[in-house]
Amino acid sequence: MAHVVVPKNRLNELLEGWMKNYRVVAPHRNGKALVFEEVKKASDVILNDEITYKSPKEYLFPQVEKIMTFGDGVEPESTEVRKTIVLGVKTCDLEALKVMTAVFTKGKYTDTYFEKNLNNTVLIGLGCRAEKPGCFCNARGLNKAHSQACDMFLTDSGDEYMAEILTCKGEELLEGLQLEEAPSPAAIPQDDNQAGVLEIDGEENVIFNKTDWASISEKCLGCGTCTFICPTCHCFEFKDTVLEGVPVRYRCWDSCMYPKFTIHASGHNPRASKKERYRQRIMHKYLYVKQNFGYTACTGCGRCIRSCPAGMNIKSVVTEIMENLKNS
Amino acid sequence: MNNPYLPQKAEIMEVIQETTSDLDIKTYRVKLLDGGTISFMPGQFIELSIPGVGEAPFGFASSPLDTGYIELSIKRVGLVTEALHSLKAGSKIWLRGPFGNTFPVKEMEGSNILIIAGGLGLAPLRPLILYMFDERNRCKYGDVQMLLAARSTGDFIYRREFEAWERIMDTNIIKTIDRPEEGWNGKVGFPHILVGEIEIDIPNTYAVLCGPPIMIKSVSSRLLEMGIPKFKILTTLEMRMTCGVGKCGKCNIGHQYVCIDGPVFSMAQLAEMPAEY
Repeated sequence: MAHVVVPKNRLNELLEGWMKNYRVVAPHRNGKALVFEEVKKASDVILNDEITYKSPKEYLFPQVEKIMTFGDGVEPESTEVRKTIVLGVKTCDLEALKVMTAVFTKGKYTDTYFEKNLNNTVLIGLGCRAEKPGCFCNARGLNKAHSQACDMFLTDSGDEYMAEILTCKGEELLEGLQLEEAPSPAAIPQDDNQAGVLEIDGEENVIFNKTDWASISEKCLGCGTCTFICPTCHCFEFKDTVLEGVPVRYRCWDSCMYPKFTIHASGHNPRASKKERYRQRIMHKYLYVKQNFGYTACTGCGRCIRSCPAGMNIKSVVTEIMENLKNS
Repeated sequence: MNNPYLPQKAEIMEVIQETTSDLDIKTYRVKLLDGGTISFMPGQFIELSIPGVGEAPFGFASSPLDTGYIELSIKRVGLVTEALHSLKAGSKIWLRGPFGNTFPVKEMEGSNILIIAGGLGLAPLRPLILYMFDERNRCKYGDVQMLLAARSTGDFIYRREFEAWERIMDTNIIKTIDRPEEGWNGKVGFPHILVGEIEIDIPNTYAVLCGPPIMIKSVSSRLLEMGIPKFKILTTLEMRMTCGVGKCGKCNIGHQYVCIDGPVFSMAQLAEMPAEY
């Protein structure tokens, strides 16, 4: 599709136009942290090379979402979804949304809440220039500077952004703006991967049984921060309550790091200790999702590494698993 | 696309007290309020909601050929079941389903069937038993032998039906309890021991088992020793299945989700899966 030039001095004009018709979610400074938030003024948007503290997954899959109200019949909530632009999403998070989209919309059943949010969202990507501490998207085979997993992708080229329009939703946002076409389609910046893609390349039972999960997970506190901050983690629980006499059901993020995640009513727990839970986290990301949907559910965003209070490092863990496998 | 999380309102038609022991198991006969039917096949499960309390998965326990209602046999053990056990005929609950795979009833045709159930493990096998016992289907299956185990006589579920089942042609039921009781003329002992006493036509038998994980493990290894092939030993697994549709991420064993790839698995399949159930 087309490439157009967006001069930086016209960005505010664009944003203000979009804000009339859309909820605009973009990186915004909240205290020290750069986070995705709904922005009301163009000047609140921060498009830079920093990586946001959290991914924007909560705008498609909210942390807490009321999904139904019980009455004479049962009413699904959120029938009206706001048209939303999520702006400034880096390659790691765009690729993560591909994983989440596969889980929620592929197969026999579709998660209609996620699908509705997705259909009403326009994703605008933004190229990354430098890897941040903890980042390893390059090792995961991604190009930090470019992704097509969005509706429009922006590349910063000094006084202007090169905008690659990838879908009709993306095209619609630039309608009537009289932007110049890029003189020649800009060369896609490359991000050469020298070391080979970091994967767990092995049979499920072998990795499951031959890895010393107890020693690997020893430091882990089981706090679950890594799962909440992960752009691909999508596990949830239903929670029922009564609001002003009306029974309602919420869908809330859950975490495989918690003992109660898998406990049966009988008390039996298939993942009773930390080593089983940590094994699930790694194997789900690197093996199970890949086997079921074709994607490794880790994009190397590095958030779990940067946020872990105990210094757990998923990149080192995966490397260690592969080294052990080679040596065994 | 249909929203797979939305339940339908249903009414409890009848509550049957199954156990007379300290294990409180009741069977609930329910129907959809809009007059619709829930068509399922043996092995599948449903999600039952009590508004304001929560939702939990239960295996169907009635015949798939009875279209006017479904039955669910439920032990009082957690939040949802505690609330359910306080409900009476006429109370409203909510249902969504059916979910999951089924027992391979077509593949099993022509074979003898050995049913081994421990306690409430008989509930998810009852749809299969009643399906095979239906007069339209009985001739498609060979001998049906059952080894039914319970902790005590008061723990047997569906015991009011055992006599009628035994009267069906080529059917044999062996009952066993954990400890001797006065007046008991059945067996005493665990099913993995007793199964050795049953005459089984090994090359022509499908074994279907359900019970506590320890029973499934001990009985299946005994059956394998006896020479029943792995793919002909079937079981149905229980997991914390929040969504029932392969999204919530709670019920997987390796890459397989018990809610959509199961709950019915053969020992051939389980042998290939990580031991995590």
